[in-house]
Amino acid sequence: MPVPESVSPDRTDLDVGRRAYRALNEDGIVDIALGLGLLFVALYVGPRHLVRWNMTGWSALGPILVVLVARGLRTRFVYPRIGYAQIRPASPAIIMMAALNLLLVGGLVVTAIYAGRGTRPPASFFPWLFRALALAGAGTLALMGRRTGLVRFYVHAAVIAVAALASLAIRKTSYGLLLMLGLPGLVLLVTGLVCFFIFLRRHPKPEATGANP
Amino acid sequence: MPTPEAENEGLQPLAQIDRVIHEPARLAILGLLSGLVSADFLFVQNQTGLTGGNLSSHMTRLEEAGYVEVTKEFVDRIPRTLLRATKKGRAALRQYKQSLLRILSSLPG
Repeated sequence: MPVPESVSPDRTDLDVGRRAYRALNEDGIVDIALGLGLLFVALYVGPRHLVRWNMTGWSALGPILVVLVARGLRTRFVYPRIGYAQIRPASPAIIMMAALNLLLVGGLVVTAIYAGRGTRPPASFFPWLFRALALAGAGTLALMGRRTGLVRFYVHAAVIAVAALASLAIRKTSYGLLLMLGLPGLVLLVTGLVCFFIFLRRHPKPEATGANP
Repeated sequence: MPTPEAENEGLQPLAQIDRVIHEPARLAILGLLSGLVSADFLFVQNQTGLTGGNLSSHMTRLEEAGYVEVTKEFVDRIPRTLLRATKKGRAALRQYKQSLLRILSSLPG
């Protein structure tokens, strides 16, 4: 009797892999990193009077700082508790969505730079950008939710979509950008910190008895 | 009416199943490592729920069969002992899955 075709050859891998990805994402550090990144960009492209200092340098350093912070937290707090694992490269869908996000946010920052120098894009540019960012951001997080099996990524996807669509109703573009990027950034950061502290309580550091021979 | 020889032939695939992988703990280890690039001892121990000693002995058995390899590498300047499934191990797991599905699909019930 032939093996049933309906059984996907990767179905078992997906479950085992998903458990491992869930273990590596329950610490909330991805949320913290994404949240900080979005907040950096939001403060740069948002209303100038909200931030007294020049955000240009911070926006350039921001992504680097965020990656360093995430790596540092993982090395210092996560790996000693649950061990280290290198997951397989993300699926092509996630890579494409993440690249699209970076492209759109990069475009947004470049537009803000030129707007600051007096070169403003057409009025219809920002509403379309907001919609594109909503789809790309929500899509990436929804894919992460599917990959890890963690419900909070679906919630983040919904927050991004709602914030982006709500920002369309705001007249002043800079305030709309602040809402679209700042609200999800704040939600991600707070969720990430809560998850991080829950993770620390759930996984006390094992005693130094050579758990990693 | 089927002969006793014909009936016994149907059970041979069961006897030929890969016993290295067929043990539940080793199946869990190889299944986990096949879904990752690499992992350290503590991660595998946490995910499989095995004790340290148990995991060590099963790892030795899998290493002897050539299904996993153990390497020492630097990750972010920290030395780590990493476990990973070999090509042979992944192929053996695929073969084991197909064999088991074939056997299970022929069982009554």
